[in-house]
Amino acid sequence: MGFLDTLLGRSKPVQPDLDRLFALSTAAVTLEAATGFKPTGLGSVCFRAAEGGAFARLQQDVQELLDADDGPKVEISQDSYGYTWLLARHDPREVGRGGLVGEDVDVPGLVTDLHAVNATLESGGFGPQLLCSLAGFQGPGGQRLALVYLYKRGTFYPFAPLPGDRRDNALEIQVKGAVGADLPFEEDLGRWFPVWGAPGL
Amino acid sequence: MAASRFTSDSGLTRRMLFTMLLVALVYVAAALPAFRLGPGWGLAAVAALVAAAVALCRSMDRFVLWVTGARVVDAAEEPELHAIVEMLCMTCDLPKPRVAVLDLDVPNAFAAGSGPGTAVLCVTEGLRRRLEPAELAAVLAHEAAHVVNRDVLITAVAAFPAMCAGTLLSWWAAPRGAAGLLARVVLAPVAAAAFVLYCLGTVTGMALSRHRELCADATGSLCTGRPGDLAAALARIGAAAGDATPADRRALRPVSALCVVPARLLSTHPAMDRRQARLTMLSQRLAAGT
Repeated sequence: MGFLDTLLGRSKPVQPDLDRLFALSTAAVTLEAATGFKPTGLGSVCFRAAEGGAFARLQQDVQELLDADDGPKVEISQDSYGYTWLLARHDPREVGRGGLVGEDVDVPGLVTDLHAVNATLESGGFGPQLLCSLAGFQGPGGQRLALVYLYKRGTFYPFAPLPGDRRDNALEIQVKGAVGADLPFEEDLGRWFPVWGAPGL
Repeated sequence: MAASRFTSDSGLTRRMLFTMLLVALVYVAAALPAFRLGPGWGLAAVAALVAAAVALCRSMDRFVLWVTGARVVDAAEEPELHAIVEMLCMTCDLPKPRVAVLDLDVPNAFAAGSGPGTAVLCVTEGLRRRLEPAELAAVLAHEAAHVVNRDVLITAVAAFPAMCAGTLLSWWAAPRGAAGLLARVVLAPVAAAAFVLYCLGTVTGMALSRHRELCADATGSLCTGRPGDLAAALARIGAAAGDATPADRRALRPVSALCVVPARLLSTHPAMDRRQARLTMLSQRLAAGT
């Protein structure tokens, strides 16, 4: 932020580069090879529903856009803090029609959906209301992991919850080591915000 | 389109620039008497002012926590509060500030620290009890906006000359006895200058603080996208602050300029009607999608 902005008490919204989200497809492959974590086909976008009709209409548009392809419907839920989570699902069986029966999850398709939600809200002028997007992964032992994309910073970080509101920091660091080269990683560990109970995790 | 929402308030910008000019004049007025003694003294006075202001800014967060008796809490102690703050940090692109709780029944909140790196957000128990989670998030977004805009630093810099002048005046009035009286007579011109500086500094400091409050209301509620929540929270806090006990009000007095609503006078904050009117305007703009 510039000196003049500081003096005048205003802040400019960052201009995020949404295309960085697409790096997630490559990272998913690397992650599976390096750590055995497989994508679950679930992904979600978190935003703060702004008040007023303009936002409500836009949210409707987003849902219709994603429901238009013949996959399962997206699910919208609200957490107890008033944030809206839009859950997109790309089941392994859905992609089975393409040939790889039950083997692969359509990560590029999922990323495209997440990108579409972000882009629609952004183009409607509601970029400031976007928090993060995430894609869920599952380890060989059933361990959960999410790669979270921070919209405002255009960076990724891992989030690995353990039972009892604890985080598996060792695994998170390990994941950074595995896919750090594929993704623009969040360098500030203070911004690896936990997303407890996020849909798609 | 999103950008225009943040920068369109040119009236506020003009007033802010004007107030900044006044603050600069207060600093000049503080250093000018020393220059009359000689350039060496003048430069020494400027250096002392700058050094003291820097020291003040660096220790601001610790000072505020100490003076109010607020307790810094970690995520294990207050998971809900931390969750709200973490969500806000994602929306406002802030590193996570420390979170503190103040055991008071007055519903209020304040931010301290000179910038995003050293920030502390503090809420009182009364605030948490009275507000819905969404309203609490709106109040914390207002405080986070103060951190983003570095308001604590700016207001501290603006209030600093007045604070020094006030301290000087209290020293001048303190000594007793014949020697004290003599000292007071000799130093009367200095005291008069300090008095003028004190009045000038206090008034400009308050004007500045009022503008920054309006800016923080706007930044904070555009960040959450829900000006209505902040308006509701302000109304509720305003209603409850009226029947706060004197002891509670006294506890917040040293930081009243930092609070979301002031504990004693409306002087450092714009009138509630005006804030509500601006928030309603933001709501309408959001609803219209412009």
